[in-house]
Amino acid sequence: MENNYIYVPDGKLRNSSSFRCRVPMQGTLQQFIAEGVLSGADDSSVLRFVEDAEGSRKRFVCNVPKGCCPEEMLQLIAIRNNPSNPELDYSLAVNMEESSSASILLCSHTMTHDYYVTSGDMDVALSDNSSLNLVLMQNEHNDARHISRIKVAMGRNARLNMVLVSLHGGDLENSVRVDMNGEGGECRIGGLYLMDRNQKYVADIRLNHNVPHCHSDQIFKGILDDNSKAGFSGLVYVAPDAQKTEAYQANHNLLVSDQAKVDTQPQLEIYADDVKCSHGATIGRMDEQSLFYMRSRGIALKEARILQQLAFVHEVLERVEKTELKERLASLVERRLRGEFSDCRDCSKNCC
Amino acid sequence: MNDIILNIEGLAATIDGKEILKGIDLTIRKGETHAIMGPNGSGKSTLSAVLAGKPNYNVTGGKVTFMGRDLLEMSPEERSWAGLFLSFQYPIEVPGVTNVNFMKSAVNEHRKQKGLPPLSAAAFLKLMREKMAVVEMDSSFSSRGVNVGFSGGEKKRNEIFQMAMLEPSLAILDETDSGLDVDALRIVAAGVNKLKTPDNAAIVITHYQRLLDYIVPDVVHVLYKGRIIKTAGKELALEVEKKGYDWLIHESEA
Repeated sequence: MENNYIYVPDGKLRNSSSFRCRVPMQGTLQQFIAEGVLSGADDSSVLRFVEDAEGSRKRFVCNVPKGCCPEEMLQLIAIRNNPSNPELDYSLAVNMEESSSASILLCSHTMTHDYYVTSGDMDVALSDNSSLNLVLMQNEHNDARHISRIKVAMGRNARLNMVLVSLHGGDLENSVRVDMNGEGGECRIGGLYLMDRNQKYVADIRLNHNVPHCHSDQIFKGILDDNSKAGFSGLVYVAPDAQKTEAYQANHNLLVSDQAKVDTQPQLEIYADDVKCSHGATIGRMDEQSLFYMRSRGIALKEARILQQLAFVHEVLERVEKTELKERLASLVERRLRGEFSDCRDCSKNCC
Repeated sequence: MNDIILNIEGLAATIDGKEILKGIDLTIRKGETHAIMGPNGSGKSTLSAVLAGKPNYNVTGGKVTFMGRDLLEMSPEERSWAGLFLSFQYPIEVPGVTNVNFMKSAVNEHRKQKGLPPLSAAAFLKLMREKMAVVEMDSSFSSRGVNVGFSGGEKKRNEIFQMAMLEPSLAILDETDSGLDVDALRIVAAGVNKLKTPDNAAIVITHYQRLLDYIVPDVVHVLYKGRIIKTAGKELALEVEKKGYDWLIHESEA
């Protein structure tokens, strides 16, 4: 992953309301939060964030009404571009009412190489029979720190498919707590982190099966190069009467340098006796057999290493349901691994 | 002689300090098919691994010339570009890389080395369809991960398909018959035969005569304890099938 950096357009973007995405995906509604200021909301759209102050703290809420299933995906692009106030804190809330469904993509970016600290809470409430596709894409500079605390409460037969793509960032911390409070819930969480230089990544996942008959499935995969470090701590809790729980958790790491480090702690705490649960973690190096196989077909070593890394993360990207988004993320991941610019084709900014 | 594709002189090799090849001499010319047989542990797969440049094998002696170049100095990819192809005994699964992308990388890298531009998407797909037909492979395989979830027979067919795409001067088939039922064996062997030209050559490594009924060799070598102990015509394979290796081993030790 040598020579990785995000392309910064000439001149610094100061006027946040001028920020626009030039290559939006089809069927996508876009909103922006630039330095904590929300813009781009379209009043006619059901699916959107609106400002709803919570004391002195900034808070943005997206409420999807009962039975409402908008076809469009909502993309919220959060950018940091004013280094004179490096610390920013705000919260997001997504409230899925009964039998609603939606797809939301949250992108976070720093637009300059300066020092930033962004912290954000996100509360997600999934009422009975609701469904949410939630993708987080993090692409920040090496001096940026970003702390995300995501809390999810799930009702009966609710479905969450969450994918966290941590493409680039100095210090990324993602904590996720899911409470499965209604029977028949399904929770899928995929995580992908690509770290190099002195970057740091931490994922802290707590998944509570509080009631019977819920299903959860987590997979986190990371590639670490140079002196980067990652930590994964994942606890799956199964309450005493949460029978027929199915819970799976895996964390796999690929170290491509001798200095990169990973600490992984997968944990299961099970108090019910009729459950199917598994967890596992691995830390490995490039597979020499597979590299040799590719080289024997004439694929040069450098390319073979990239193909192997792409193959490693493929499983996580496959979890993204929207095809165009999946392809875009795959392309960003590929260019990240190749050490090219991590921005969309035909755009000089750094969104997903 | 300019019709020599591969020339091996006194090749010796070790793995983990253990001596496996103890002086192999072998010359392969254009248009020839050589079979290498031998009991388990005789060094057959080591020979193919050393020729393809597999890491972890240590060449301790000898010389190998391939198409006039020093083979042992070349990286595995350079050997492929120069026209060497190894069909793996156990083809590797590469999940997440589709067959079509894998072969596109390989074919375009070969073209780049020859100073040719990459194939257009349409031309590539046409070539792929044409070559898949050689081994009667269904087109649905092109979008699947390389060897992922393939049966033993499908993996071997995929190897021969890759060989068809890369058109090597020398193909080494390492126990291509292992794990194949009769139908798959026939398809794979027919594929190999279709790819045969007066300008290329093949080394067929096998335990059994069975494969040699389909791919008829010009020369048969028996390898034992890292040395070729007998070289003869195709009738040697039949004799081995009938009598086993013991008589040859006794003959060589006498």
